[in-house]
Amino acid sequence: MPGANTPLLQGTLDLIVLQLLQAEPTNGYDLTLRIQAITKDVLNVNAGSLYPALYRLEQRGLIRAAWDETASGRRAKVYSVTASGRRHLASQRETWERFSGALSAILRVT
Amino acid sequence: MGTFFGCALGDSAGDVNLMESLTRFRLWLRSVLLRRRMDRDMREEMGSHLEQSVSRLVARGMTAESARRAAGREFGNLDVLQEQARDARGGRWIESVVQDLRFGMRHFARTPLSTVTMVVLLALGIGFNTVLFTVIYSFVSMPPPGIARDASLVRIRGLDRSLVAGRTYARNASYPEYLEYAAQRSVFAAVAAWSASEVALDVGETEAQLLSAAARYVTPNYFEVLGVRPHLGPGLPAAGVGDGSPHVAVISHALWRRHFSRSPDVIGRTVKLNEVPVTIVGVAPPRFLGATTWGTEHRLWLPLYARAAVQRGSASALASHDSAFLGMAARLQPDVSVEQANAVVQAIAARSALGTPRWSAPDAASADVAPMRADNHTPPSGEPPQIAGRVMSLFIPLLILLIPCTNVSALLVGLAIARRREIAVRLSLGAARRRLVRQLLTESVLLSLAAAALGLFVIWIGLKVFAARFPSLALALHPPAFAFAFGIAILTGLLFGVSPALHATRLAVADILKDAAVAVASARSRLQSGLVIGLIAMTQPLLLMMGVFVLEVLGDLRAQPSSPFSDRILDVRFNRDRSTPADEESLMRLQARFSGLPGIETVMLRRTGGWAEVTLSAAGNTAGEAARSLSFSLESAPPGYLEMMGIPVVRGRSFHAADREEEGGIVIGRDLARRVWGTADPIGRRLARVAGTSRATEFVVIGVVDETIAGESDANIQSRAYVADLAGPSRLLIRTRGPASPVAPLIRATAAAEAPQLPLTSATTLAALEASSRRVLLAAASGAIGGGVIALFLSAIGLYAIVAFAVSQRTREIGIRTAMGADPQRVVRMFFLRGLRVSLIGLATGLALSVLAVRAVALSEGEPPVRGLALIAALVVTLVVAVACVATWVPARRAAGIDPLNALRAE
Repeated sequence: MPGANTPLLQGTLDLIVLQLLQAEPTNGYDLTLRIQAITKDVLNVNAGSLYPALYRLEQRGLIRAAWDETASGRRAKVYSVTASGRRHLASQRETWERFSGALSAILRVT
Repeated sequence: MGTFFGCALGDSAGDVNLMESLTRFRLWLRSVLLRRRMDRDMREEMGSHLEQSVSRLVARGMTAESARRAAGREFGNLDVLQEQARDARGGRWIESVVQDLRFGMRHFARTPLSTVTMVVLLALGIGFNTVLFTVIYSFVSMPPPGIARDASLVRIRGLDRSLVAGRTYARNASYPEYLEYAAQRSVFAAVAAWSASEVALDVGETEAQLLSAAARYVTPNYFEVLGVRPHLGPGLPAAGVGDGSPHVAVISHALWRRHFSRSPDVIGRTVKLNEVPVTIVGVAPPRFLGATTWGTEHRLWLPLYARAAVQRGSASALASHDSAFLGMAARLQPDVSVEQANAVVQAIAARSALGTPRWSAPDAASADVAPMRADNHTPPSGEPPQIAGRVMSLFIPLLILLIPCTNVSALLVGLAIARRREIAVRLSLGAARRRLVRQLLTESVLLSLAAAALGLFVIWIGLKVFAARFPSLALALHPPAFAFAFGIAILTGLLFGVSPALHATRLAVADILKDAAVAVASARSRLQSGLVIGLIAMTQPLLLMMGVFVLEVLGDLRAQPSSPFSDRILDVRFNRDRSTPADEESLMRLQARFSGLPGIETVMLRRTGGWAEVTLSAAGNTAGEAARSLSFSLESAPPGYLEMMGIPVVRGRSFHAADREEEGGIVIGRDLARRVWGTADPIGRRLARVAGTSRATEFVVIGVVDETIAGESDANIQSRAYVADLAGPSRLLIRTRGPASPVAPLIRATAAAEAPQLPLTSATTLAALEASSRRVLLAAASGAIGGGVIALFLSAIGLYAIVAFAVSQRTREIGIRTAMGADPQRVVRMFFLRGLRVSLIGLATGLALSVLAVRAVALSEGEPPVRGLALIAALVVTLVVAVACVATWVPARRAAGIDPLNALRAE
């Protein structure tokens, strides 16, 4: 199964994490499940990449963490996007859309 | 593609506002400070992640065991992951610094002796250096004590170039000259002036209690210009309050402290100054001594108009260009620079000089403006030796710092060599070279910082000592001085830490681990021998120069030849600015009156020259002798004076009543005669006066005295000659039959009764005068002597540590030799001789350097080398050899004494 995964483009993990956390604050484990579910198993972000990314974003002040109870009554660290994280996400999304549009255009050239 | 994206990311992240930066800083701080808690959080978070994975897999039907394994596989290596996560959080370098520090501390704890030695050496060096630097800096850059530093506060100094060609001396200004400066409102916001005099102060309430004090007669704006408010009382009256009202004075804090026991009731009290009643209207702030600090701390400030009454002068002195008695200070207008003021003042001085015949030569009288500093009351005289001397005095502290620096560097190099094995082990275990260098650097910096902290304590003590010894110096802790000392400390640590660190890590690992390679061993011993030689060679000239310095000071102290009758001679001084015929008459009357008192042997009226340095040319006396200049102090020796003082005339005669100054008869010292004419008879020889204030233009030698007995001594006078008389204020010298001090009250009382208009300021025995001048000299010398002793101490410690270290490094070799059957005694002797050889090479090199150094000092001071140099050199050599011997002998003995097996295992 992992062999079928599409490798992540460099720098896109931050974007993915921010986008998902903006939709709904959640913990690390839940985040891996959601990425798998939403991308229909195309992207499989393992813990080894996810946690460093989370800590980096937290360190940059784009997300913040708080201990909370999960639905199953387990203590978990829940991440949410900060105001500056939202601004960052908006600008990154714009950059990404422009970039992907340009890339698609190039790939359409035959 | 990735790069492109990365760039785009970076660009947009650029617009972070202040809030975001603050947030980031807070987060960074948290990650640094709460490292442990965050680590715990991280472990818990990852643990919970794993558990959730496991329970999900179990829910899908896996067994608990295989679910855990699968989850673990999916999650990856927990430790590696946590490391990556920590990296992502940033601030990792702090951890490694902490590690370095911890390691360094452990290392120091393992080698306590050398660590303590290095810290103490450096601390003493830093401390002593900073103190000296602070003192010198305070002296040249701080205003006198009690006056705030302010760029607009300046001195106006009168300059006199008429005395000796090419030299500038200080001169006082006349009141009209002062008024001209004060009128320059576009340059000076205010100009204050003062006149200094010695006074007899009577602080007794019912019966007389006389003190010798200094009076300053000041313009009404004096305190305002200096920016000083009275500590107590209203202070001197403002301008416009003139004669007629009772006289008032502000007293110095020291006077208030010592003679009025800090009583606030002192305001309104009346004291007597030269018998004139004066009401105290203020106490000056602590330490404030006025714009000039020399002289006693017992001071009083009075309005300028009081001068005529208290000093028995004439009020018309204020109107005359001829009576110059004022020093000046001023506040510049806001936008005026010192240079601009200087130009104005020079122009005025040149113009105001025109009216007085004394300054007939162009440019003879001038003036300048200088920022108010403690030591610039008199203008620089423009003599090159003084500049060199000043440079030297700045160099000495640096030299002292150099000793511990070389010591510490040598020790560090030694230690680094000793640690090569440890470093090699760490390198072979995969430590990065950079990391090792950083480790060694951290240790060096740690060492320097510890030394700097201890140095602070040394500085604190040093400054306390200095402040107590020199009340006339405003000691300020200068940030630049501190930055300098601490910068040097850190720099020392870095410089001396880096070189051995680089050296140690550059070596081939295998060679060191084996330590058998002959090349390495011999290179090591060569390096260490080189270090010892270098250290001894370096230390020696420094010690020698210190020794010369101390010797000079001690020589000054010793060279105070006094009269054999110094405790039987009273020096009686009167307070007068100029000698008027009436005063002379009174003095003659007093002389006659004193002669009739019981117990009095001789009373002599003696004039002292004001300016009394004369340059003589001995040319034309003997055929073929080149002209040479001699400089000595001229003193008057009225008939009977030499006999009274007990100065033996060894050739020729002393002065008779018939001798006149104009005839040019001169009595010189034996040394001077020998210097000029050798063994030939000096009587009848002629000396031409080139410069000076004597009335004679040519002198004839009539007598030669033994100058080891100088009568009234003055440490600053190197050689002196006597003439029949001089123009100048006179005083009385009274020789009594028994001890003179009990007679003093009688003399005072008689003088007060006979000549009340002529205030007696002091009646002291010569012995007491000499003792006090010796005390002053000793106070000034204590710094130099202390420095010399510290330098000696530092060098001895350093030398011992390094030599001992070099020997103990060879414990293994000693072990091998004893194991193979060598006689321990012989081994010790062999090491001892080898150590001695190294020390002797160092000594020989050092001696050559020392000769050069002493030459350089002598050259810069313009003086012949001091006597006793050979003695100092011998002392230094003995000391160095002794320290080196002990340092070689003790560790060699110890090494030879231990079990060969232990010795072999030692490394």
